Amino acid sequence: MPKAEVLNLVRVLSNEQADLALCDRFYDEVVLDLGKMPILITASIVPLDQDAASSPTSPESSYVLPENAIEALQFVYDDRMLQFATDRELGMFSRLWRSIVGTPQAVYRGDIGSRRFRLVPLPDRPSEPFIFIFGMPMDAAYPQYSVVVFHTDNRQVVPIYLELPIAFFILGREFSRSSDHQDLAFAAQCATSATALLEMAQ
Amino acid sequence: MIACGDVIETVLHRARDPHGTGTNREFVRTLLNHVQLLVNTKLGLVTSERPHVMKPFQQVYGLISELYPEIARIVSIHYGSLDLPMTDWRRLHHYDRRWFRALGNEPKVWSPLGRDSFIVHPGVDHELTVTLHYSIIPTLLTSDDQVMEIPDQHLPLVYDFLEALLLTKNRSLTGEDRAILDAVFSRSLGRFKVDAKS
Repeated sequence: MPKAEVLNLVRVLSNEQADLALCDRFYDEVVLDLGKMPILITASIVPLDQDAASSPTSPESSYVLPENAIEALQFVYDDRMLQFATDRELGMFSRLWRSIVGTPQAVYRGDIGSRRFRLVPLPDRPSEPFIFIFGMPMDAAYPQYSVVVFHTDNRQVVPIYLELPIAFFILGREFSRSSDHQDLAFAAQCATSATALLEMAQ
Repeated sequence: MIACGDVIETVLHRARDPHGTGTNREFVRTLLNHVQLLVNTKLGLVTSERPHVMKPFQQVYGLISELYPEIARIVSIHYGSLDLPMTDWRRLHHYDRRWFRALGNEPKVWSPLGRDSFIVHPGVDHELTVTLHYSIIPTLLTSDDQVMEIPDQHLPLVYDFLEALLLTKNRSLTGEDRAILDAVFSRSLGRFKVDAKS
């Protein structure tokens, strides 16, 4: 298990001083932080139902990002890449952009919560059923009229080349917090080492 | 070719811990495994090839680390004798806004998608085999007799990083030491850039 491997590295590198229960949590935080960089990217399918078009002002008119998504990087509707657009840009296109129904051309991420997105225009049909008997989601069985999100991925199991950088990032956090083993110089050096090691892994 | 035990000796000596008092040899070997992996990941010094079967209509292939655990980084992809050009996946829509489901007779380009996924474009309507050329994940070093897979001329990079990590671990953190470590990192990373250009 990579998490156990990483925590074992942390234990030895800290000369057994690190609080491993806290470091367990730091591991999750570091993985989330790595999600701000384009290192682990996945494409996930989001099903669309008819509700968005039928009630454009309701919360259902927007969709939720996949559970494992940290940062959304690109959106595809059916087979078409969508452009990111702000409410100002969409307002120039039409003041009624929130209620226009048609084939989505853009994606809007403002004022609807960081884990939601809205398609503009609202899709005029639901996705085809998600039935993957004769294939996988990304191959011949891809359901038409659905959305694919390219996003950074929140994974508990990280590739082996990220284990050492993550261990040093954890040490940086553990030794910079207020504790009986706080060591700011060591923490700073661990952060420097972590950044250099991550540079190698990228 | 240099044995793993010799590398450990050298690095412990450089880290002013020749008897392995601050850090035992076994843990130095663990760190050595990680460092040689990272060096090979970055520079692609030891590479190999394997076939990859493209499925009909599929262009995005994820979880390389689970699908092919021997791969540290894909360096290039070939189709027959053709080297597929690599492009940034964010630029694919410049070629074709509908690239995601586009079909062709044969693959034309490939893109790394982060570090653990890749795209081969366009898709094809039948199974087709391409060749992945990749940096390997070096064999795990478990004894001092094992020979290093990283070529000898690149071992100074491994020494530099391992020494820096050991000095960090042993908290040899005087102002001078920190300056030395910063120099080690910047020199090593600078060397990466030089090697990447050459």
